[in-house]
Amino acid sequence: MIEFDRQLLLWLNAAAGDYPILDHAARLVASDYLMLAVLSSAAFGLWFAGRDALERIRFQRATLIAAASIGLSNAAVWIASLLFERMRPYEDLDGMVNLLFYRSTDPSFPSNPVAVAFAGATAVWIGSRRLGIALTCLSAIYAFARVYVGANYPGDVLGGAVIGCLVTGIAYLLFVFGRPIPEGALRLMRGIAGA
Amino acid sequence: MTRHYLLLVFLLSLGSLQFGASIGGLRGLWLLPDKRWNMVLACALGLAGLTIFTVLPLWTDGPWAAGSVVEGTSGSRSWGTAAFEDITRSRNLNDIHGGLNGGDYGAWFPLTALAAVGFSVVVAAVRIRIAGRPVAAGDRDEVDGFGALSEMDWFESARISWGKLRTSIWNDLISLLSAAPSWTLPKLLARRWLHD
Repeated sequence: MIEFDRQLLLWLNAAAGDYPILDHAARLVASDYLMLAVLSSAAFGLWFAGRDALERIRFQRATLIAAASIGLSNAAVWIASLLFERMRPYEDLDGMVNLLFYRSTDPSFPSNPVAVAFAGATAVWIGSRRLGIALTCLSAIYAFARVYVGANYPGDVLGGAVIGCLVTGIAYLLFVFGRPIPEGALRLMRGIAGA
Repeated sequence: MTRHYLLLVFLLSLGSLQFGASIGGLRGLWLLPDKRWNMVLACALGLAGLTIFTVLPLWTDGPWAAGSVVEGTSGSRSWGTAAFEDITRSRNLNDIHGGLNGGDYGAWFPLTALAAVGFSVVVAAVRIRIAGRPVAAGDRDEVDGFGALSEMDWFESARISWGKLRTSIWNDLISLLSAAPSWTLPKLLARRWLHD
């Protein structure tokens, strides 16, 4: 399995360095800043997008779940990285990876930014299917870019995506079992014209 | 780097807020009076945030000086402005070499998004008051929260919403609790507390 992951990385990373336009695009997309800021602000914008009271509550619940699942995904990644200490591809396969990124000192598995991206995207899916699909596609592109630039193995980003989806499920269940606390919080926010 | 990130998040979240508020019809938050133009402005703000963040290293000093940006490391960079061919990699910095860490993202994003809300509230209120008329006629006391923002600015909406909250908060919370299924945690705790 680990060998297959290595071979898949080498295959996906083989073109890195050969196509300047693709390399520049991958560096931008794989950045720690841009894609996560876009995904988070899209989840934030959903708070305001409801056209009637019911849709507004659905969207705002999704934004709250997104915020909770992003926080939970960081904790879950931290725990997983303690259990599975995996070296980065450029340490493990030194000289065989075309690295287009900086050398991170964090463990490779699971990919933290990909977990955060998928956690936010799947939480948005709960409120708005269309926006959720769009953000999931962006997260998948982000995950691919992280592999293409040689920052992570495919297994790392897959692990991050699975963790992101799982913690969203947990956050959703917490909201269901915690009823009516989230609804009460939304009611209080409505009292200051914030929801 | 932090200031650049704040600018990115402010413009992105302001654009996202304006786009969402345009779809949701929250005129009390719009920066422009027309829905379509407000959506165009929202897209422009988002694109401006991404573009400015990407090209700022060309003009501002940072750990991305031309000639020092080498792929695979970020610890040996010198201070200065970036070369044009390096703009896609100049921001790719390890957090121990001048990049932001996870805690910074977590703290700055919500604060900056709140600043975007504050900016929208103030600018929209000034815009509406300069126009000198309510955005739309209607029974103002019927709705509160975002429902009221479709007809008035935030300050007026907050006044009405606060009044309704003070008079109905306990009834609302009790009705929310009684409507929750018996297996939910607050209801289980409430039952236990009442038994004790």
